[in-house]
Amino acid sequence: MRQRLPLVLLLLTACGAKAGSGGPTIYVALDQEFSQPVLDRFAAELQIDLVQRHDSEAAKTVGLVSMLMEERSNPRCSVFWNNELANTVRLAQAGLLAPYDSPSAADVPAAYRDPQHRWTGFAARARVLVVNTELLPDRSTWPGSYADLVDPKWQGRCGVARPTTGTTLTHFTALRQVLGEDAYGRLLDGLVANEVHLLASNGATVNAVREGKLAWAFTDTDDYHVAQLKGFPVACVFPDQQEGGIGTMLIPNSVAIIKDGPDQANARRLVDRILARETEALLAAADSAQIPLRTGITGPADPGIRAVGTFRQMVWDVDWTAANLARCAAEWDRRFGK
Amino acid sequence: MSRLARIASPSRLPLLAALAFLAAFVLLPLGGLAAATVFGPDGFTLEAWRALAEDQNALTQLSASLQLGLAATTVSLLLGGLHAWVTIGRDLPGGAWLGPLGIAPLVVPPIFVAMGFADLASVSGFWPCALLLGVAHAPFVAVLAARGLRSVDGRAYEAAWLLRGRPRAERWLLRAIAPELLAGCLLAFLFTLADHGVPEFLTVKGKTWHTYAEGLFSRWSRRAVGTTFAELQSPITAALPFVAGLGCLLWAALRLRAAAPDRGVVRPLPLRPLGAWRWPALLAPAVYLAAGIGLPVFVLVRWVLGSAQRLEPMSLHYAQQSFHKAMDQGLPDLLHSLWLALGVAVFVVLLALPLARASARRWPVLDLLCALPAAIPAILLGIALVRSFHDEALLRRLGGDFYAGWGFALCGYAARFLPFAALTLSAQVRRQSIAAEEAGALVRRSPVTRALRLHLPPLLPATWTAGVLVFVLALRELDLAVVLPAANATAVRRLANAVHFQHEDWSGVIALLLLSLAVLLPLLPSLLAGRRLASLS
Amino acid sequence: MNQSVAVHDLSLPRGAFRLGPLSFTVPAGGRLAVVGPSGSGKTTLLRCLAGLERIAAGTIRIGDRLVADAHTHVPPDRRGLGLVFQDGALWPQMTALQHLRFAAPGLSRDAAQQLLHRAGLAAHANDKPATMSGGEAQRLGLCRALAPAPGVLLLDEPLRSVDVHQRDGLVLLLRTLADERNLTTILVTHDRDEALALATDLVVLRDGQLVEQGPARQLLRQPATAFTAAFLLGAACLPTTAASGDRLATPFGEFARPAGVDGDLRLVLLPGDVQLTGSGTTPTGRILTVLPGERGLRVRLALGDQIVETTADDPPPIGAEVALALCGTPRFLPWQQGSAS
Repeated sequence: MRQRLPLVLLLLTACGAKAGSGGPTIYVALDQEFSQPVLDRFAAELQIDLVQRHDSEAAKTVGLVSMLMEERSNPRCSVFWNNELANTVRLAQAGLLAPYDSPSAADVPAAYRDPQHRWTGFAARARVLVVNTELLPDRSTWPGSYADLVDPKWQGRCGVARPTTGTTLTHFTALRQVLGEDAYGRLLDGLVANEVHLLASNGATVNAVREGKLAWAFTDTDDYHVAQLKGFPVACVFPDQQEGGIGTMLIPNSVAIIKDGPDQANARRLVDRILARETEALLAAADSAQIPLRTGITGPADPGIRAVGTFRQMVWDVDWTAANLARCAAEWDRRFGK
Repeated sequence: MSRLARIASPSRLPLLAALAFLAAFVLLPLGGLAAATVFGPDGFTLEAWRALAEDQNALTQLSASLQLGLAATTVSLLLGGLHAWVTIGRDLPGGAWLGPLGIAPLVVPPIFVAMGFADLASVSGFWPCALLLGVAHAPFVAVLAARGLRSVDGRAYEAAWLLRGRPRAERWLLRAIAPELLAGCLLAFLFTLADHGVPEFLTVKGKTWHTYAEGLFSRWSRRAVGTTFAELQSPITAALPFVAGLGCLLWAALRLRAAAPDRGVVRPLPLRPLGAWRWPALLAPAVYLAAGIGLPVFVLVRWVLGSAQRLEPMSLHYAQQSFHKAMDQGLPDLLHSLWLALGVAVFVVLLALPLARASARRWPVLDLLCALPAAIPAILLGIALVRSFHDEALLRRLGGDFYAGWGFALCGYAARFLPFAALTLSAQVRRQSIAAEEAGALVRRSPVTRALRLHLPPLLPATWTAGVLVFVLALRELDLAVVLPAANATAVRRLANAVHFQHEDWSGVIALLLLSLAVLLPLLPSLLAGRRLASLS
Repeated sequence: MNQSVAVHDLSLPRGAFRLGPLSFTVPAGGRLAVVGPSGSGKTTLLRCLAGLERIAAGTIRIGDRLVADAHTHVPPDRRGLGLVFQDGALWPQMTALQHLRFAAPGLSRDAAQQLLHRAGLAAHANDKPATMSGGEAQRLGLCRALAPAPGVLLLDEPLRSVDVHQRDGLVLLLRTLADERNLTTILVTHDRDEALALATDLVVLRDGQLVEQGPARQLLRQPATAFTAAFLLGAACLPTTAASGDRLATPFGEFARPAGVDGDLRLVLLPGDVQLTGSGTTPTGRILTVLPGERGLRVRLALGDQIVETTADDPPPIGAEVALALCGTPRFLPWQQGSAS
């Protein structure tokens, strides 16, 4: 038995054969429950041997981005489907992405397309306020702006995920650009003064709200929607819709082709398929209730989640945001500790 | 026979292969990390160390980890130690059954214990977190303490009893099993410190402080947005003294256990009556087993029945739906977990046998090398493996994309769990008669025949124990599953995600099935051959 | 087929201890016992012969084949030896029959049964060692060593773990089986009786060095060293000092130094070489034990740090101090070879 050890070791290399047997590899940061069935279907349609690698929530959407950085000298990934945008732009800035102008992306709004065609956005989540309707039954009392975080009226009763990673980091970094340094600094100071609950993730904030520990919190539409589907007493507010308000931030999924990744030809076909209008419709209908960026596509059934064009969007600079993620995260660490 | 020919003789191939594995999957990755820290552009400078020493975050995390480790270990000692103390050699009602069950909570992944606690109460504070980690790692203390109690010479206890009375004899007994208790505590301490998955899960539930293992992972994942080499290397720099300390601790723990002599042939302890405590003492195993198994299983069952939603009351009908969803979503991951854990168990045992013999008979330093991976936060070992193998051209030429395949996951897991098998087996080899092996050397048989007929059979019980331990640990491994590509498709990783995304219903089914698998293998000998579960300890 | 064993200048350093250089020969069919106190290097020597240790210098030949020197090391299983270990060293997972069949793959089941029968183990053929007594385990160890029909049988204190009642039976078995096969036998032991029961020639070791060798009868009758006399015959060896002229001072007075012998000599007192005198200025000894003997009562006395033995018809009680006197001519011997010149 022990004599066969070397044989076993040799066989180990063969264990990897399947993964490298041709076909593109996709790294997916979107929840596996939503993305896998869609990708399985696409792979069957395109008749490609698609290897899927899904992210871990433990990595807060950046696990695969880190992996792409680690694997830079020998890319294993052909297509990267990120569930947000800023880290994809970081990869573009780091030179890891190959340009590809997908014909399917022609009708995606220009704000969500890279002028150099290294990435394309689609199907977005909005940064919204999730409200516990048992604690706040009167709609007129609901919060309506990021500024409510620092309103003494909500002292100790609202929360937000710590903006050290994930969509919350993207959100706060973009706020810094939109509000300016001074207002952003006051916002951070106000979070402390107003005893805002700084939780570990968007999931934690929704949990706290649905269980009545908090009256409301900032989160993503998908987290809100799942809680709503499960019958918890929650509602969704698109913030800053008042005249002159900064608007609600949309963070789209993004897809990109990795430079020198395997099977570039099929990678492009796959990107075309992912960027098709049908994908946005599928993701809108799924539990994650993603908002289509293009007009004319049926959005989520939940009336609380509004369609593009029916609300004021926050205008933010993705390149600036991506380039300043590290600075904002570091500053947060300095102010609040990890 | 030339020296080279002797070294490469067929009888040495298993050892050479195991050493090659150790070099490739333990020394190379960890050495690579250390080298990058020492020789990189912003590497091993006094400034870097000074900056690290002044990094309040790192120090806070380190301090939090150590405090958590100590607190959780205390809980493990109280729960596990007390369980063994009142069930082994006592007249506790049902003690014969309850004693061997001390190992049972080991089959419950700590993340499930965390889920169970978090579902019923707030675990955002320090002590709740220490409590659940202590519960999750208490089996190490329970099992080793039970082993200690079973191997104490009953006559020595009786001598102490006759001379100094029962209370003094009990104190003597406690001292006699101190090495095993200490070893169990050190293992619990190490596992607590190295655990990334549970503290990270608890952050979702509202924990607001962070451990060292979390900090390592966070810094690594931040490289996507951070750019400087120093930022990249700082967790590794920070890890080095920590890892060295943990390595020594683990080595000490397992050597302590090995040093406790095998007294299996002596008279067992006499029955030590609990007196008036006979029935109240039942509380100890009841609390231990309830916290370690009962509570997690209870919560999982509730999830399956629909406790994590408000649309309809909990029902069997909802459980049916949960089951269908689980089959649809998680069955492949569950099967991957099963095959991976089985493969890892077999592979690790095959590697550990020659290493154990070599370390017990020739090179004790091998024990220390084998102990290294278990002393490192698994997340760091995973990162080290990724760095070393993602660009391995030779393996790529040999047989496809090793890095992306199950082979790499198998090797990564094997590296992580090799210490437990190698050190368990080397302790067992040390207990075997050298003279009996020498008697075999005089027999004109091939080395393979000698290995199979003489050396292996006395090790089979320990081999089975090591294999089961590795199987269970591999089945519940979360940290490596996050980092190693193929291992992404395992049930535990999927479960951790599913709970984040509020899919408690079907993930509860997967978790229960995973638990059943973890229980099945250890129970197999009992089911097939009537072997006692106690033999596992 | 039985074979001779020739050891020449064998040497093996072990830290502060050094075995050898040793030279001796055992003819084909010869019976040699290597005796000496614990730590004298007996077992190490046996392990060198068996091939379990590599020697640093010298040669070992079995028959006309060189099996070990500084550069050669024939592995144990290629030397054609059988070895009976001190405590059996049996294989716990195997039955008695399996032991024999594993040790000698060509041995038929019937032949193995037969061998076990000869050793009185027929009823234990399917038993594992854990169920056997010390004597039975050692018999099985012997059967295992003999199963492949070795040319030379090595025995490492084979009677040590056997209780006194089973010793004679095992000795008889060993002798019978060795005689039948005319086996060359090398035994190591610290037990004089065991050596004399199983061997015809002796090698005496002390601290890794050869003290004396020769036929057992000769060594018993006329030991050349005080160490051999003490070890084999239970003699008391009293130190001597140089006195005036060419005389030696002893507790019993001064005596003329034997002609032609220089250096450190001991006064060797064999049982019966002293007698109880009742009183006087002669040295006194304290009575330790009194046991019945063939001629009167055997009395053992402490004389300084030595024990002397004599016989008496009506000795004083145990613990009494009694005066002693020499009977006959005193015998002076060097402590070991080389300590006298």
